[in-house]
Amino acid sequence: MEDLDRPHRIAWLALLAVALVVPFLVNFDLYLIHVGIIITFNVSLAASLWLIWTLGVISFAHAGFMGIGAYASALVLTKLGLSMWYGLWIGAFISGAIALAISIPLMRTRAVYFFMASWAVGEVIKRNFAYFKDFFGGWDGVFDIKPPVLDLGFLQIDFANRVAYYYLALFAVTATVWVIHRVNSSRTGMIYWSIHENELLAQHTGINVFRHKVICFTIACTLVGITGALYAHYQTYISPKTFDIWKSEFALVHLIVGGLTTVGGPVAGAISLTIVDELLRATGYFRTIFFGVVLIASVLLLPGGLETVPGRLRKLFQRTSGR
Amino acid sequence: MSDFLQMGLTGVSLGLMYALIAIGLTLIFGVMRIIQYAHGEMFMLGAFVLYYWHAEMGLPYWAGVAVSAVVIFGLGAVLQMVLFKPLHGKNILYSLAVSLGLVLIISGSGQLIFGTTTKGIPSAVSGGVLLGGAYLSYERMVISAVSIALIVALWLFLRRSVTGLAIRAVAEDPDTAALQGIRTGRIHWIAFGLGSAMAAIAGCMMGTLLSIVPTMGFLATIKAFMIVIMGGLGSVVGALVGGMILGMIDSVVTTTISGDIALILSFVVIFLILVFRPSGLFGQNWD
Amino acid sequence: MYELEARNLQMKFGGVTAIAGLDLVVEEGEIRGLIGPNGAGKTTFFNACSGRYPITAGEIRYRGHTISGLKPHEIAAQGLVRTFQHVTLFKKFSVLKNVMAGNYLHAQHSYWGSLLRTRKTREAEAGSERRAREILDFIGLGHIAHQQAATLAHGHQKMLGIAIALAAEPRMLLLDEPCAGMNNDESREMIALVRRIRDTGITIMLIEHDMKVVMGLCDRITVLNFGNNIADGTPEEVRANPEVREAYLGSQAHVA
Repeated sequence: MEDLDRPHRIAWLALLAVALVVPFLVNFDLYLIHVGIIITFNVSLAASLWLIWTLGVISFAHAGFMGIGAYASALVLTKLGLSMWYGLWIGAFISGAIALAISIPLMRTRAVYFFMASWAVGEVIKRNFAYFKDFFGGWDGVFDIKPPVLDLGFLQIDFANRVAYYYLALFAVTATVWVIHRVNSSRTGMIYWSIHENELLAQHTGINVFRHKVICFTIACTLVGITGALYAHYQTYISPKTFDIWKSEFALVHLIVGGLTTVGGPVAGAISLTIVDELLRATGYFRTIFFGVVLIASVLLLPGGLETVPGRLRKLFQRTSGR
Repeated sequence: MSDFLQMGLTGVSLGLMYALIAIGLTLIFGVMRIIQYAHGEMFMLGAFVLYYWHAEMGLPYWAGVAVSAVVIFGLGAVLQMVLFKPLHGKNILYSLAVSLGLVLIISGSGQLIFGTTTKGIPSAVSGGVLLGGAYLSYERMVISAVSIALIVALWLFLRRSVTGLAIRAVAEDPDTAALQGIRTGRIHWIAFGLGSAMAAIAGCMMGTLLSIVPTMGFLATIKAFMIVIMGGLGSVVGALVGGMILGMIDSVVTTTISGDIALILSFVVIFLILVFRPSGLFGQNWD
Repeated sequence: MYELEARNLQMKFGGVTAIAGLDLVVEEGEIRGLIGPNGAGKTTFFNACSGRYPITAGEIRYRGHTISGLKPHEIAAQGLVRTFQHVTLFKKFSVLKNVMAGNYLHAQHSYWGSLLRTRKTREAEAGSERRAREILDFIGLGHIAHQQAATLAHGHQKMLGIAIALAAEPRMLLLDEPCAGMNNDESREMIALVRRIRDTGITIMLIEHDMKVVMGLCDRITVLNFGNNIADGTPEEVRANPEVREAYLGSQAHVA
């Protein structure tokens, strides 16, 4: 098993520590805490997409599965009156179950055709939300998805409070990244990466490639289903547009800008690009243009992504000190 | 009966136009193994070049189509040389990300420069003919004829001309082609330019038939992708067949049920095709 | 009971017949050579045995069990493992990790174990790593266990391919041109390695073009031509067989 070496462990703990004190650092500024919550969603989305990437493919249906989790949890509340504490698990379960069913045919396709087939799956999911108006609310979406209240008897936490929700979302993203890290740094990760590296050889060493692909896809979609449920109860409003192809594409962009070889990549990419996107908000129309420029520049000028920055800095430092 | 004829005729003309967009995309993929997500943006820009030439400046229509094709050919070639060339041989995700960035930049700038209001291009011909109870406008006929002519021309170009044969050789096996002295770098920008120009001409046609907005590229990209997946990446015949399937679904299902169902159904068809033929109808197994 | 047994095996691709009614048996513990001109169906036979491509007709049995129709991973799990003609590795992994990945069948993988990192999982992984190091030492790659596979010399890459196959703990190995692209020294090392593998009790079948290697190494040789078994016997018998000479003269090669 490859455990984290010390510098990495310190870096992760530092990141978590900063995330924990951020609300105090920003003096409980509601807008900045909102940005923090959005970051946690984007990190979960990108990190779970990265888990699929360890197989060597990217799913453009990923935001769609986030949508399944979100809609399931929202409808459980609006139709059955069950709070998010139930919706979360129901959403995760339904998202995982649909992922399992879809991935059985989907995993027959390979390489570039997988991108495209998953893209079709994502579109079908979105269009179904839009088409079945009576059930899913059509393009208007679902409103009034209340955040939950945690009643511990002696203490009541109302997650309508943004700071409370921030910590809930932070807990969820930490758990998600932890699960993905554990899966990846174990024998399971070795199996996924061996499929990624050489599927033919993996098969001939006795690995049931198809089975592991299906399980990996299901795990990733279950995780993103939870993210979707948390998203729905935070925004209190969801529509098919929230979960369209662009959301998957932005998650892919987070991956590429962050780096593809470790789970640190998507985390770094999602955090930095969400911040960049928020900084560009003031520029109005130029926002998307600038975002496009940042994207192209980072692909061309920083191959390997943000995760290669520490290594580059170390090299630079060694060169200058050696002189 | 005449309803069916009407639907069939509309389906064919739609299908031909879709095929025109998709062939450009499949050509680019076949030669360079990149997914050009900004293909629809070339389609959109092509339509706007014609709009400014013909509707704003009042210059002749067909010359405008040619100008549009040449301008977008140049743009495509430049984009290939500046942005995609450095990524050659790397994972397909990188070029995909760059083309995504291009979509954001081009459609964003398009909204700034062209404005967000819907515009129309006056058509070159008017009138129509009744055919067994189905109405067929001359405009649609001309557009279909142009589409067919272009597809045939491209097909001949790829099979007869030296450059065309070189393009096919590179698509088939880049290493061997390079060994035989084909300058693959040159082939890359030519193919990228040609593919983009095809999209631009399709944009001119579609823009004349319907209307134009800077955000129209996205839908074109979706259609082109759907077709290319159905037909198989890198296959010109596949793009033609895929275009026809999609055109028919669009025409028949939209008329008889609804546009939403037409779209869902097309995606389901694509999904099924991929499940049973994992490389599309006429595709190869690209790894 | 034979180690490996093909009965009336046929393989067709489209209209092309690659193997036309092949009968072949391999005894336990031998080193069997599979030779024949290019296109005779040698690699196709390996592809059929390892489940890479479905067979058209006939049957393949391994230690009495029918394996034709099974998936590659199921066949590997039965103890029949192959290598590939072209270097086939997990190129970005370290040498050690390549062999550990090859050890999948015996690493007792479980999803819950991965997530919870239980004691049992940690012990199984430690055992897998130990086993991988043993195999590397056996092969003679122990000193470069932490190098990235892609950076190895060609000869070492071919050796590593065999190490990965051994990690699956096979009872029979199918080696597709183990000496391809090697210089004389490397070939000699490979030949010695194949012998040592056989001495551990693993049956071996190998495809090889270099007649010197085949004649010196193999206990028995099977000659294929146009997808048929045209001769079967000891190296001396095969060398003396006129049909074999003709097949080879026809394709401009020669039997040394």
